[in-house]
Amino acid sequence: MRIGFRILFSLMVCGSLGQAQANLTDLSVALYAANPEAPAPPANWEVYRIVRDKLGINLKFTMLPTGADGDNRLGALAAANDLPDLFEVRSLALFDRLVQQGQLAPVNNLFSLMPKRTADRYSNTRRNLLVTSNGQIYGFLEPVTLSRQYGIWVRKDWLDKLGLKAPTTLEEFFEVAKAFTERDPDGNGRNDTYGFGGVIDFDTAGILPGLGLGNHFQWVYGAYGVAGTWNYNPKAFAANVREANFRKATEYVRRLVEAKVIDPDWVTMRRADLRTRWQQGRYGMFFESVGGLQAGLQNFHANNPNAELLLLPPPKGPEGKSSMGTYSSAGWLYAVSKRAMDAGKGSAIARFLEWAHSGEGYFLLGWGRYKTDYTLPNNVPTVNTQIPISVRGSYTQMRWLAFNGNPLEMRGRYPEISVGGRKYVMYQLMAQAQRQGNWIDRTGDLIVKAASNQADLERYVSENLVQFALGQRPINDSSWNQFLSGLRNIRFEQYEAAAEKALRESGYLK
Amino acid sequence: MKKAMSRSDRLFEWGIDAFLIGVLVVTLVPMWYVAMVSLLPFGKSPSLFLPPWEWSFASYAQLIFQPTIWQATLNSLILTFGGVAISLTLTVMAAYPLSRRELPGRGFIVGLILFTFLFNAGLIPTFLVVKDLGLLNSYWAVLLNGAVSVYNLLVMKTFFQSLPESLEEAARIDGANDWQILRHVVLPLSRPILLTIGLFYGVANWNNFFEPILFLSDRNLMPLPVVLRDILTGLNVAEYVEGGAAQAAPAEALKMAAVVLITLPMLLVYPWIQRYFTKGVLLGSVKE
Repeated sequence: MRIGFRILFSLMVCGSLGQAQANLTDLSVALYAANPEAPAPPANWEVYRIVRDKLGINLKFTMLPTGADGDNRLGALAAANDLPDLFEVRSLALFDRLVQQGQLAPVNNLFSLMPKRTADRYSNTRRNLLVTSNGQIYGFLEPVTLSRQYGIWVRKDWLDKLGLKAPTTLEEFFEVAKAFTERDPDGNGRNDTYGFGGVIDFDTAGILPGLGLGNHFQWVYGAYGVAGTWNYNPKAFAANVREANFRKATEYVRRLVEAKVIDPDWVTMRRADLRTRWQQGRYGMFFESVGGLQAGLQNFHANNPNAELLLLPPPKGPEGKSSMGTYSSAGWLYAVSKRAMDAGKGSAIARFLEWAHSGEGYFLLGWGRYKTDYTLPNNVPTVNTQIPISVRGSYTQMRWLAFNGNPLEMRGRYPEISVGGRKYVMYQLMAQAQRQGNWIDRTGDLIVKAASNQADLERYVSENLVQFALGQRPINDSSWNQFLSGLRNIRFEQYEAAAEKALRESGYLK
Repeated sequence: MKKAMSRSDRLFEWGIDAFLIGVLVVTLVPMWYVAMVSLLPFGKSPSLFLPPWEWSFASYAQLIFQPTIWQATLNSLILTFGGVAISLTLTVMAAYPLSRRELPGRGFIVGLILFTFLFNAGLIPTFLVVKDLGLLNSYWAVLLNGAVSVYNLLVMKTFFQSLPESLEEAARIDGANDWQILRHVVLPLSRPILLTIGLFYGVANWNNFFEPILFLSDRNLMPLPVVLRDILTGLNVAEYVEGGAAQAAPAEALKMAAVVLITLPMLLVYPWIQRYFTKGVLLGSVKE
């Protein structure tokens, strides 16, 4: 009797397991690596087991190659009708192409299946417009949390030594930069310092650099009210480059160059060079992100033991305007292949995304293995830095699916650190950079399709501004008008008209 | 007795020497610069001359101690040696028959091969073929795709054609068949071209970057160039840095150290086969 019961029980267990196995949904997820320097998660990653047991999903995770190679791979997979079920798209142009080709599925029906995630991330109807086509939403467009982490950092120890105050206006900025350049603030008896360090950098990292001199000089144009590519004035929409103040801002950059208060290599230097030089202590003021600062502080204080840094608000222009630049609120974008939706995997995708949004899924994907990769003192996720990122990074390769920018998360990612005997509260600096930068939301810019000669347009404006700034061309009515009339030759007006049409139709310009 | 050189001859020789020294400097300076920057410590700007007491090997250490590096190196070795073996075998087996005048339709076959040299199928069709063959996410996709280089095939064919026909006739009189002639007569005489073409294939496979990222999705299969690129990408994304993720060397030093690491194996191999290299290329290039 007992043996018979055991056999019966075993058969029941086997049966139910077999049924659970049969009900498993295969789900392929392809994302760009959150930690490219770390390997993929191992086959015995507990996430695979938990997702299988609790969500009924047989998860298969692959990492896309970084950069444009990822786009190429996705393009090839699309051509082979072999796109993953859920995948990340970094190029809006590729996203549009996949929508046009019918490779993506609308995701409208999935929002109600993941209420928490939708409420926190996908409820912004204006942002969703960026991924809407014919009334259908074709992707999960995440909000961005770190886009405004840039600012101008000033050497407070140099200010104190020279008896100066932190600059608040463009004029004060010029005077302080001049003093930092000419009055030997580091006291080494050599003329080897510059007032300001910045480079021509169009790497977005959440900032929209706009046409012109890139991220690092947006604050000058912001002080004249012309930061970014477009003037969103509904009654007088135009490209900022046509505004009179755009010329004035360029004249100010030229003034800095002529006074030799900017590192003369600013045109040819790259961001890595800039970072090396501010860490060497060559600049009194420099443009940098909070993350970039955090990565370089150790070296900076090793070279400059008595240094102290302050984050400046954007300097005000003659009319009292100021802005550190423009930014987009649109972050990572995830799409669902039509093949997956046709195969009935929509609910599994929603289940997985909702699980990743909070609680167990959030911590497993965002922070890795509890008590190994991180701990939770006072509920703040705290990374175990004893384990190198190249190891613990394997377990957080999907972290962008989880991270949502909540205050505790920001504390964990940008903690309080002590370097060179000084304390830096990184999350507060991050918040400060976002708050005081007077950043201008220009998410709508992303709805403007690139012109067929976009590279020519950008190069024309950038090269001319560099020539003006370097003094290779005079800035006067004649030369400036010549520059503006040259825009006509590269069909800039058509680009402008197309931008206005797209912005009005989408509701970003009312 | 050595004839004394005239003044104009000496001037000409000096001119040649000066020119070659110039070429040598132009070639060596970038390599030297790469080596110097790879040894750059924090706080120093890149320059051509860095005194030895300032050298830092932190960038090499940071790269070498990445957990993915050794698996990637093994993958690269598999792809390189496997690729050379497959490519060389296929190239020899295609080049030898095509070098025989008696092969019927030889011109047509060479024309077909040349057609693929001039007109490439493109990325998507290639991907579709690889997928339909079920080779995605396996080394075979990388090893077999483009295993035979048309250029190398033609060089080898020309080399085989340059071998004296009398040797082959003698072997045939002794009773050797085509396989035996190839194995016991042709290949032993072809060491220079085999080593030369082998080096071409070896370098191409060692540096192969695009095909692995296109055909392989399993990160554990990725070769060294891909992994090094990913490591550098990760180290450069300071905007998203986590607490405590500071790097041990300047970004530029890491990049250059990666260049050195990826170049070094081929640089080490080259001197061993250098003496065959020139001979092999020259012999293959002249049709008698």
